Amino acid sequence: MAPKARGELGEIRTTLATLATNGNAKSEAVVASKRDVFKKIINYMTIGIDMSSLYMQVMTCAVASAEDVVLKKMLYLFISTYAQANPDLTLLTINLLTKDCRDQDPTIRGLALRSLCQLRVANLIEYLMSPIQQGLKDAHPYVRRTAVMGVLKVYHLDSNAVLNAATLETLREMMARDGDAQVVANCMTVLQQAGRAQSFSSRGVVIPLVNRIKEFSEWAQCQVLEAVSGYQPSGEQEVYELMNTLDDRLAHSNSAVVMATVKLFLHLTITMPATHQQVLERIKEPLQTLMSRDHYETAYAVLAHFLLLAQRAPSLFSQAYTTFFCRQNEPSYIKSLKLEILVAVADAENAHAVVTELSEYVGDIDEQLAREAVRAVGRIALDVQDVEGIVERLLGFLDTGKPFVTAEAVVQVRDLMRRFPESAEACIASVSGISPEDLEEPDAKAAFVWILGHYGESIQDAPYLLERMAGEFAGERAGVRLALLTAAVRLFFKRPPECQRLLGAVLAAATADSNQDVHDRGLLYYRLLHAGMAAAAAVIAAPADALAAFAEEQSAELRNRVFDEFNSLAVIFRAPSATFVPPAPHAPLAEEPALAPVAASSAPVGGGVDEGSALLSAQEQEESLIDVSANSSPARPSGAPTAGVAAPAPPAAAGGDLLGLSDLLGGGGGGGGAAAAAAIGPGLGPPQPPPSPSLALAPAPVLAPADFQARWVAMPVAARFTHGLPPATLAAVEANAHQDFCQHAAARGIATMASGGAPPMYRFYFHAKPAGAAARILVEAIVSKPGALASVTIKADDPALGEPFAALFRTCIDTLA
Amino acid sequence: MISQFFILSPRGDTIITRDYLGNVPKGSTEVFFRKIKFWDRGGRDAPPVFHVDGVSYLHVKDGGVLLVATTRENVSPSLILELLRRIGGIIKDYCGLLSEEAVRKNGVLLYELLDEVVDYGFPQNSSSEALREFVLNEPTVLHTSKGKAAAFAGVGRGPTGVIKSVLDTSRADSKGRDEIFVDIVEKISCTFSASGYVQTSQIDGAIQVKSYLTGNPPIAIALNDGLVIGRREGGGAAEFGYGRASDIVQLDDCNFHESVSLERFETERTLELVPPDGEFAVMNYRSTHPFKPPFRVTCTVEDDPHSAFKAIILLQVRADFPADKAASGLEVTVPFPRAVQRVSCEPEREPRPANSQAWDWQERVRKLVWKLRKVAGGSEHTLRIRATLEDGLGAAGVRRGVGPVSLQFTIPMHCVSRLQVRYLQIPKRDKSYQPYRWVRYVTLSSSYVVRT
Repeated sequence: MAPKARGELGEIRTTLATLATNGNAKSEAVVASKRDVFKKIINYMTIGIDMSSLYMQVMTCAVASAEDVVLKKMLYLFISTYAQANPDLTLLTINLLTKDCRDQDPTIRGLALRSLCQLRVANLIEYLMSPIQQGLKDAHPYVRRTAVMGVLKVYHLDSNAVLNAATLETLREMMARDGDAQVVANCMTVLQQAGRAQSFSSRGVVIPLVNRIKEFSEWAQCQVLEAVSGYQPSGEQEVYELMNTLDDRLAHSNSAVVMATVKLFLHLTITMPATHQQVLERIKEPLQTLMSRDHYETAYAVLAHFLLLAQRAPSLFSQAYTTFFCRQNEPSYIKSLKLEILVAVADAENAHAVVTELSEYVGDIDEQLAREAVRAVGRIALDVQDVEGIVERLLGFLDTGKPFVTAEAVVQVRDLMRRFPESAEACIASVSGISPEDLEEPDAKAAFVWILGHYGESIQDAPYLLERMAGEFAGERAGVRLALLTAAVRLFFKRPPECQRLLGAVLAAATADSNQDVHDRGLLYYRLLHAGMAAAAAVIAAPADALAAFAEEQSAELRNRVFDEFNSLAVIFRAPSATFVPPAPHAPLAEEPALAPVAASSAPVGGGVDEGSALLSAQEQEESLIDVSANSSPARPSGAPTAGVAAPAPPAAAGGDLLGLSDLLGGGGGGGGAAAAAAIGPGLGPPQPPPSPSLALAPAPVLAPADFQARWVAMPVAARFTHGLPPATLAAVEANAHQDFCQHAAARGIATMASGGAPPMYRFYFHAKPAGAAARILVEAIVSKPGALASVTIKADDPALGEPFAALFRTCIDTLA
Repeated sequence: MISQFFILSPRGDTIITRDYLGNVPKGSTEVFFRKIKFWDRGGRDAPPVFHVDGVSYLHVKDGGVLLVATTRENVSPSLILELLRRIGGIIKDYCGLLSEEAVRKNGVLLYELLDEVVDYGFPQNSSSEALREFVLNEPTVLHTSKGKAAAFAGVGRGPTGVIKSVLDTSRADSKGRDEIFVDIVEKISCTFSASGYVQTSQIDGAIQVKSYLTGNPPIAIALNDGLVIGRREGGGAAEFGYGRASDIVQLDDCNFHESVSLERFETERTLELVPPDGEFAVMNYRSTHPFKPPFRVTCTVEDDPHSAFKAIILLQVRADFPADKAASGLEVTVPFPRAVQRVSCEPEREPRPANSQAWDWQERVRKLVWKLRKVAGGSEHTLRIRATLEDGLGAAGVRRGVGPVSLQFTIPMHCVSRLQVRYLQIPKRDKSYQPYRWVRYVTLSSSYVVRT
């Protein structure tokens, strides 16, 4: 393309030169050939070839035939495309444009003014203001519209030029007086862009706009409706009046107008619950009509809002559920959204019908749709638990002969068992029919392993199934390896004789794993087991609590923030606009600056920190352990740790002891292993003394970050322990940027100084103050997600406060609802 | 508002591009197209709205091209997508149709139009007739070889197969004649259960107008007297006092074009409007009230008495609409399970003419498509399909995997909701003023699925 274009460029240049000099510039033939050349130039421009070198020739050619408006328009297009890159040449066009701004024909005046303002060359602004001012007073609305937009163009280049000339005041006046609706709309645009939106939130401005809304174009109507949402009506009476006047906008065929109206109505009635409900009822039908046109793109935008509304008020749409059944030819983005809406509106009454329909999609040729349908059924089984037949459907998917359906179904069944342990029995029979070889996807494998680990006592083959899967340990994804590790340990507590081999193999493989998570967890389990069976069982195999909610679910609070931005991209992206609109220099957490120095200064405090917080110093301990085991366990061939370790394991002993595990991994009781285990031992070993109940904390203590830092360095360590986190707490820690957990703590008089970190590790710094005392208590808590463990270091002015506070803090962790 | 607007060809070439705010880096067209391709390769349709690196991309697909807007603001997605749709509509009105070729041939005209429709990223004037006074370039109207004969051919594209620019009206030649098309287009969705019951059904209809009347005179469109709008909740139709239930046309909800005045709608069911130039929907409506499905389908799977490696599938279609109407382009699609290796078909009766039926076994996707060129109302057609199976399980092995059967069709001059234009009134300016009026009906399948 390029060489040819270069040749063409020369040709065009010659043609232009000939046309500019020869012949009568006014003759039709010449004008026609000029038009042809210009068209060619614009075509090249469009495909991205730089035509700016023709600037002069194009200019000369067009000026010679200035009467031809078609040519003029093409010239303007050319100029506005290349002006920014060629400010010097642009200067030459200014004269032509300013002259045209005074033309007889309003169309030419408007065109010239628009092109003039589009040049985007900052040092030409002095030439712009006077044509604009004139344009604003022009008799023809077309020129005025253009002039108003011109103000915005200049404003973005140099806001002072506009502010100095008091142009915004002129616009405000025009907005109130001008007879042309588009001029008014443009004035609104400019004022709003210039941050003067408050100038149309007064009654005197809003009411006339609402009354003449039908004069506006459909796009401008949206603007008016948006402007009205910024207006505070004087009372309920006025809200009703506004809604009555604008009610017919809901029957508009343009979805943009309807959505803007819906937003306005919802926001107007946000403090009037009964009316709000009526509004929701009112908008139901119009929205459905917009959704069912065959313009899928606009329907998509409407559906995204439907989903938001359905999540806020599921009962509203629960009868209209058939509207959200998928249709054959719909694009996949529509189908996916519809499935989500079906999940949101499913309730005890319609769940059966919805699940029946979803089951049809599971057999669909479209694999992605089938997967989403299985997930949807799983979600409904979680949300609408007490309806007959849903769980059975889900279990039926395990056995459809399609591997991906089975895979999705296993994951869903696992979640169901996590949430409703009482339903486990029904599930186990179906799950145990699965052969691990049928599962290929890591998520499905992990889910299957989880089920075997938690309910292995009811699945006869569980240890052997796990063993088969563990045979491929090294080849699995990290998520599956972690699941295998946990499942092996859990099942070991339940069926020790059968699992000993498995556990040995898995632990050995995990501690030799190159993945940090797998390695650390393997090590942690090993040490816990070393410290004592009872303690290990309490930490690892604590009876699973039924989950109240999954952390992945969008919080209601976030949804409310999105709802505030109804009818915007925020709804489509399901995130507040701050997360995707770039210029927001998002202010970090207020505590954030304190975090870094505190964390840094905690290092030089002394050896204490390294000794105690096992997770922080995992690196060091890991090294020592590996050294020891490598040196002192000759039975372990480095190439095949699994086989090597499993082989010398003693035959199954009936006892609940560690079954020789210490020999197995610690390398014949090598000093390193024991020392490493000892390091963690004190935290877990002896039962804690009963907490003294008398420690009362002052509510909402106040402490400056700098003060915290200074004290942290100065104070002695009062207590240090690790504590398992119940799932609900772990969810709260992760959710909502730690806010949920911090609030929970704050309610108990433990204030947050800083929080941060990224999965799988979070850090928290808290402080508290005993009621009626000057002493301070400072806390560092490091939460590790994979192990669901918190390593807590407590410092206090008075070391005696350590234990009572530790008890209080543990309760705080455990009692999160 | 909008930072850039561009039109891309299906291969990703930029055919039209306009930068309004200059705040999106160059190369956005490539970024956009790469994303689209990414979804495409995964077998998914790219959502109309997505964002990459702080830039939101909104697009609509129309006439084979992609109309795209980029923005850095938190705009109303409905507004931008409707605007893109509208721009597509303007191109149709001016160039006769929207296609890659039409856009390429009319580049300069489209730049002219775009400049008026969007200024500095903000939508301005977008009605086809208001734009006329600012447009100076001549459109190059493409004519497909079929011309007007293809009026109803484009299934799913709507029936207005007239290819004509709004600028033609002002001309003196034969194409410049005054005419107006009023089309009632109904798309029906219907899902049948395995036992033949209608599980869900819906009509999505529109009264589409394409107007080429000089001077834009006001018109009135009168609809059925017995038109009831609103859900059944208010009680039976008889309550409305419209007499026999069969005269009643019930719609759930409807919306109207900007230009429509509803003053006489409540009492006389008459829409008054001054039609703008070009094509637009006067009224969109939706009905979930039961209607008589135009096709009944049965699909049975039987053992072949001679071989366990074969199964016989009988596919029967009955046209359940008046005999004076005929469906065109009926396509019956049946997916088959993996166990089916190949199929052979024979119609129950020899089709006449011989080329009026055809079938196509798409082995890769395991779908059989049975095509019937024309199906008269009341007629019945049966196709015997012998499927060769890879295992010897007979019919039992495949029964679960056959289906669901889906149908595609167009029935001209038929309207399942029974909505009617009683009359179309254009006031006479003088005795010789006799504009052509075309009132047409068509029923299209949107999603017609028979589960098995």
